[in-house]
Amino acid sequence: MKTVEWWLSAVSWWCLTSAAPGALFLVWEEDLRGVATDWGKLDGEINSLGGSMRAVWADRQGDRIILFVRAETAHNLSEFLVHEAYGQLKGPMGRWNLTLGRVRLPWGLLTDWSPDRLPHNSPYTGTRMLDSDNGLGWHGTVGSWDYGLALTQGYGMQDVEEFPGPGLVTGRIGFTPDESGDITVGLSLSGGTVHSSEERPHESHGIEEKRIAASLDGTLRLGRGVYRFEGGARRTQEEWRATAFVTADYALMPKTVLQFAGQLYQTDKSDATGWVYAGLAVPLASVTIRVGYQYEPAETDQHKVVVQLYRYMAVSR
Amino acid sequence: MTRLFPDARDYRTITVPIAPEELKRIEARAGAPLLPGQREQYQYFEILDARGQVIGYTQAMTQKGEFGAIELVFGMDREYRVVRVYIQRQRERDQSFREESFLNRFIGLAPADADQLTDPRGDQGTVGTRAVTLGIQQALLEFDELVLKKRHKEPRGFDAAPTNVFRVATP
Repeated sequence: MKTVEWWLSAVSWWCLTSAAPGALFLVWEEDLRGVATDWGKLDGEINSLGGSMRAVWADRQGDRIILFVRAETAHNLSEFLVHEAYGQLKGPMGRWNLTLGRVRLPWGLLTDWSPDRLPHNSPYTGTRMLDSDNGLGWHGTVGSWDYGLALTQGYGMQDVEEFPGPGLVTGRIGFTPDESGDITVGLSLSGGTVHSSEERPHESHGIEEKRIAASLDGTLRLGRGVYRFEGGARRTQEEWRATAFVTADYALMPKTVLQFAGQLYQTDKSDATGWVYAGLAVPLASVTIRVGYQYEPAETDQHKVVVQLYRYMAVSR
Repeated sequence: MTRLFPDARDYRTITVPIAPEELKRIEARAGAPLLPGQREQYQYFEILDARGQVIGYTQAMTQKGEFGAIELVFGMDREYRVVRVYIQRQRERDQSFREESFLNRFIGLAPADADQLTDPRGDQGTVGTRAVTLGIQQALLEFDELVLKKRHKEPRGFDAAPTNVFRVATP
């Protein structure tokens, strides 16, 4: 346990204090949101302030060692989350990479997309195992194929209670059939035991749950639109849950992007339900304004209008 | 990068700071300002063979299209001539700038040619073809001002390792 914590701290500290990496990439994100629900409630918050730092060192054969940290403080600065903190050994041309630390699990659309800064629900709450976890990762790209495999503890971003922990295996294989990269498809599989406190953070001690999950994902870039799909199933203890998620971004005008998203999910013990979202994004230099409406019939607040101010800044040296 | 250099064994990321006077020269030669986020640092990649020797260079540029960013990547050989250009990401209505017949017009260009570079489609050009042309022109000029001119001032050879490479001490 202490070894894991020491390693995460060491990577973070090394990244923050590294004096002379070959290349250093810094990203800063601000996500402010106002939400109005059908009960007339108005709420505003600093949804997230966060960023990432990537330091790259090269030897005479090329880029070789990468240290990466990504963290945020969320919900009016009430939570601090270290999403990723790892050291990476990069192989030739990125055909293989080994990572050690807190890694993002190789799963579905997440290899090239993230719902974190979007104003609608995350499609992953019900479909997959964990977001990030501590352990060993192996990923790379060979020709038209990309792959990722992670052997991790199963604690996610919660406290590490013992070493090595319950144990989780997550993998994805992706295929990009043509050079344009307009179409990608992937298959993800995961199995193991996770500490369910990841999904119940207010409980002091989570329970361990055996889970397996599988998903298919696809991305199509066509003209002014980007269309994504992910569908799969997860079995937790004795319950199966199937989900299907779609999202579409379409550049309606030079500074106006239409965004749609929706998800259906069903367990073997309940009827199908889900949510839908429609909104607009207006990118203005480093700031993007998003306004959207989400309908989720299973929730008490079925109707939700969200206004988001999102700023992204990136520098390198 | 293997699309540009099938024989490549690996690559090395190089980041070069842009001094204010260098920025002025680059923008004056291009006739257009660099985009925010591209004005302080310039980044390119050295493509290496199995012995760690440089066999070419790759540059990735982002330019403004009509409906968002157009990301393009191109490679240069050891003589700094463009060997291939491809479009990585875009979401334009007009797709003519993705055609091989357009992109191939940049093959053979060198940094010294960049000052005179204009949209190969001329009056028939679109926002996309002009953005790609400007992106390649600015990248070539940056390479000229920030890499080649500095190399000519320095005594070490072209393939000498840059200063940001860590070395293992030899006895």
